[in-house]
Amino acid sequence: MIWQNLDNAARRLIPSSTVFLLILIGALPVYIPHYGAVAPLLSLCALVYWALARPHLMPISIAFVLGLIQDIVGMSPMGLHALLFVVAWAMVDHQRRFLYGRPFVLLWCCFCIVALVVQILTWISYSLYHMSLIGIQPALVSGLLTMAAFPVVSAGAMMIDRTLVDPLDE
Amino acid sequence: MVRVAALRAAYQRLSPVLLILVAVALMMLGKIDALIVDQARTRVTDAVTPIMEAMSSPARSVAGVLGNVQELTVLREENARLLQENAELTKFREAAFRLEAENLSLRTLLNFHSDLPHTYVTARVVGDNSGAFGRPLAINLGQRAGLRDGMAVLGGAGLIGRLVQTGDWSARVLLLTDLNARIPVVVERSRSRGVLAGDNSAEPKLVHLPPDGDVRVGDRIVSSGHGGMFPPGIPVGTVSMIGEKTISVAPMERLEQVEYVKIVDFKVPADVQGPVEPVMRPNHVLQWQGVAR
Repeated sequence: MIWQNLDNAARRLIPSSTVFLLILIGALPVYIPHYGAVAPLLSLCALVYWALARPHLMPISIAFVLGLIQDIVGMSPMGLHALLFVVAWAMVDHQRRFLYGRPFVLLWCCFCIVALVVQILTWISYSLYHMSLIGIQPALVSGLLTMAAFPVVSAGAMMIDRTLVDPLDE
Repeated sequence: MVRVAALRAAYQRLSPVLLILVAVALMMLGKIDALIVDQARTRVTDAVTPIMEAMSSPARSVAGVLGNVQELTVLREENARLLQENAELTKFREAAFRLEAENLSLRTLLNFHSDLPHTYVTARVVGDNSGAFGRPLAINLGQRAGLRDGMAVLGGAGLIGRLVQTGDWSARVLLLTDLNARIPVVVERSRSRGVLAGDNSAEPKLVHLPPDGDVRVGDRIVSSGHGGMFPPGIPVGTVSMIGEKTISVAPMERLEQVEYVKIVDFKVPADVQGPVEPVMRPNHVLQWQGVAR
């Protein structure tokens, strides 16, 4: 019984652990010229996937905490990604019923809107935080790369979802 | 029971707004009192750095293989370029030997005391916090290795930034391209003083030059040593473009490809263990000569 409980607890942690792992992967040195300025926000892809697929395992409070971790690891102003992740979560939550059972392409389109809003919010927040107008191009390129990364990340997350998280429902 | 359910429903409805407010409050707190936020950040960074260090090994191997393939394709041109560069450097070496001997004899004549030798430690880059706005590097050494906030960080070719948020086992490097980076510099040829200000672009800008400041494209920019933050004479970059309002400087180092960094302690505390390297300051010696004459 104890082992089963432990097993279930570990499975419940999988969605947030994958987002945490992607936060760390996103912070690794890549050694590609100019990549750093336009790197995709991989953690957002996983966060949106889990917020749609397993909302009870990715509640808004966990999204907030993961945002704080992203801020710490990524050295962005404390609270910035917490704000962005909460906004992304709220947007997805708002569209959950509409997206339920729809084809993946529609889901991707929805993510593209979320990623665009997140990048524009990032740009506005940074400009306000530093009290100077910062160029928006890197944010937009980063947004495009994040959109392109979504199918790959969500395919991985879907695989994990089916093999590791699904048994929880049995 | 009904009240609990109503409270829960109210919380679920209001939680996004509440959490957004908390996040904004945190950002404001970080702006007003950065110390509290920095301390919390440093603790967590210390904890995740070993994980990132382990994870960065495969990334480095892949980058190494890609780099090798890339190098193979340009081997012939690279060889021709190196031969030419070698011929030029041989000439410079002769000049350097001659100047060194001349320097030594002049210093003896003037009873000139050089700067204190400085110590340095070498650390590995374990995190490149990629993002559209600013990307401080994470390194695998901290206060336990004698590092402190503000120390100069060098790559193989020149200055890349300074240490911020030094934890016990890790530290961050604020790159000279960062929006918050300001480095007192001097144009090596004309000795015009200025400040190198990062603006999140690949090439920081040279600002606060005197009205009669003399700068040309290709001029080397070195640290001036003013403010006591960095040792003077460290190569920082070369002037790449002079516009109507801005002067862009290309950093000496390719910041995206730095794998190892050298952290220099200018003030020489007793607790840093490392080899001692003398500071080369040819320009300052020349200034001394000018004054003496």
